[in-house]
Amino acid sequence: MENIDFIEKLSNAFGVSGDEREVVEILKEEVKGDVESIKVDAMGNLIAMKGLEKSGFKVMLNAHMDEVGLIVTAIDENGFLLFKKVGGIDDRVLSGKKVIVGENKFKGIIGAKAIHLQKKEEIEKTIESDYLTIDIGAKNKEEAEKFAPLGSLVAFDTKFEKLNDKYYIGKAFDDRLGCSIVASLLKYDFNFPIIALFSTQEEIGLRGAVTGAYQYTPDISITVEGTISADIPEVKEHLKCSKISQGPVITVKDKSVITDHKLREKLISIAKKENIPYQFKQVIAGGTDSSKIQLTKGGVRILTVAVPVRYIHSPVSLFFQDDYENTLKLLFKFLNSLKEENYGTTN
Amino acid sequence: MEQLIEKLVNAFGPSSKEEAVKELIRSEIEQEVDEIREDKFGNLVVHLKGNGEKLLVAAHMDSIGVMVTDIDKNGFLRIGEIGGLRKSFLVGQIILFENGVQGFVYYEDKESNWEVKDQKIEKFFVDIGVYSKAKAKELIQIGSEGVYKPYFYKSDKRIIAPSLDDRVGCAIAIQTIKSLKRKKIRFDTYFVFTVQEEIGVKGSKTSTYEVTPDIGISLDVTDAGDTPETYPVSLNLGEGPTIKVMDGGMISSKFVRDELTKIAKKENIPYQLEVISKGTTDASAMQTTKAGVLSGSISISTRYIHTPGEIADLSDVENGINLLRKFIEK
Repeated sequence: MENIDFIEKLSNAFGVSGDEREVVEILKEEVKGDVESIKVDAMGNLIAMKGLEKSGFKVMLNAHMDEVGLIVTAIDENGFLLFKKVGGIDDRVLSGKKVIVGENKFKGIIGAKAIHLQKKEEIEKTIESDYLTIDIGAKNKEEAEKFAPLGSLVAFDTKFEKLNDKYYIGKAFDDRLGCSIVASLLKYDFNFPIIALFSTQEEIGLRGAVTGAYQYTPDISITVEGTISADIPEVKEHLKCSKISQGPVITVKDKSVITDHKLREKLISIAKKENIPYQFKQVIAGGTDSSKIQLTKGGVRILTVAVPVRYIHSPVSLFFQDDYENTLKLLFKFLNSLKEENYGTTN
Repeated sequence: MEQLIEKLVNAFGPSSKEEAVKELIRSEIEQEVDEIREDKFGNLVVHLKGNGEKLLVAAHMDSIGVMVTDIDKNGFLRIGEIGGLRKSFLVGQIILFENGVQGFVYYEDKESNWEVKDQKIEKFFVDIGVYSKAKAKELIQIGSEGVYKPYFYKSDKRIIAPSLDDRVGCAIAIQTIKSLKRKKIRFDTYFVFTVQEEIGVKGSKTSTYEVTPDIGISLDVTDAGDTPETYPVSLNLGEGPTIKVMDGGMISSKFVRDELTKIAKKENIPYQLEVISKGTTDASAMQTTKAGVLSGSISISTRYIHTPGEIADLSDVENGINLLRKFIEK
């Protein structure tokens, strides 16, 4: 796949909410030749624009750069790091995982007592994150403080890999896949101005999008995501949310928005016309930057489209190449079809 | 009055699908107003020109409801919630969809086959009386929205219906617009019939940004506390509209509260002070828009809010109209 090296770079980049600078640099390098203006705002959002001389409605394409992770909150006398979660992570996936700590990129491991020493009731219970520590191989507290001062952000140490023919695994597909798709769409010219918002701090409260959309308020916003796919055994059909290999996931409703009916119907008609598979997000769960963008100033018409991803918010997630390509293709065809119609009003 | 509420209650309008309610309201007031338009978020904005400060009065058009999330191989529909649906009231109800399709709500009864024990939404399904997925898909799509099937009953003074929240507020707004003495209006007045209140006071947020009023008042329903062994709330049906002091989303502006109270006393309109800790209205979104808006709320105490059988008292509605009218007139 044409984009795969770029996705690999994005996936491997360190970008826990609050420090997305590595991702900013990668994206900046990628899109700078395709856009007319590029800036990083006070919240750290990367905002790139093109076609600004064109009149009519403005379209914002957006994806968040940050990933879930941990933050160092205390260091004990032996040099072990205590931490809190940054964004939603299941405690059960933490123990035994390799991590990258802080700006010095120290390697570490989230440790727990070996199974041999655990009592039966300990084995049966999930160890809460408050009782786990990160071991960075420091001799003592002083050394640990030097390597990983308080506030250091921690990312999973996961390298992007091809799992099988068209399956890829890695971290942060939520939402580096979205970042990659938005960057790819910037290579094309459309009939209207495009504002690309690569946002920060989505995972801890959709924060970057608030300021990004306030500065450059569009008429239409398309949030591109990597979303929950629970198509694994033991999950009932109607609770799988989305399925790998079934195409782009179109949100009707999640926890925070109902997407624009008219735009969504148009998107679906394009998918049908172009023979692009698609599916709906089938569990009303999660929320995205679109909820903040929607309520900016007098309101913005929104869509949310995503690549289905298994095991999001864990150290390793999985996506299927065709889903990525079909999401990109659908959005490209959709944007190409937006023309004369009046997209200033909802109805 | 009750005919208007009945018409409003019968209009289909879960959050984001408010068109039918909007059209009904438009047809009721078109002749009475200087300007009526739909804003880009879908709110219906009515302008009654006047001198003085800018007033925004909001009532929301949308109701709670359900959204179809899955259609299984036998045509059973799975659903998700739109707004604060109280799931224990769902089983046994008839759901009405926009295109007239109706279905009965039942649940996975393998573990408790006579009474519902597990109230999780994913355990429920809607049976629309079809025999296959293909047939169901001709009628319903994933994303189709449904509401409690409307009905309307009036006793001597009281009315029972789903979606009195907030068609009662819409009715108060409509009647106030119709009954205002235009020469006496002391504010540059906007009535906004908002969308998507039940899923996060959304229409109020964007319309307040656009209108930028000085004063904002929402018209809504609020929990009554006059049923047997109920959660304690000091509001009763039939004792007057409520003047909000506090709810789960805001503390009202002292100015608005005092002004309403003063007028109620002067005009001999019964009222109740409302102090509750849960739920909120469009006014909470107004209050923190731009540089801030002096915000308050007139509500109708209502029993069983967000169930299929909301009950309110018509005298409170009438008095609510009087109070609002006197507030707007000099």
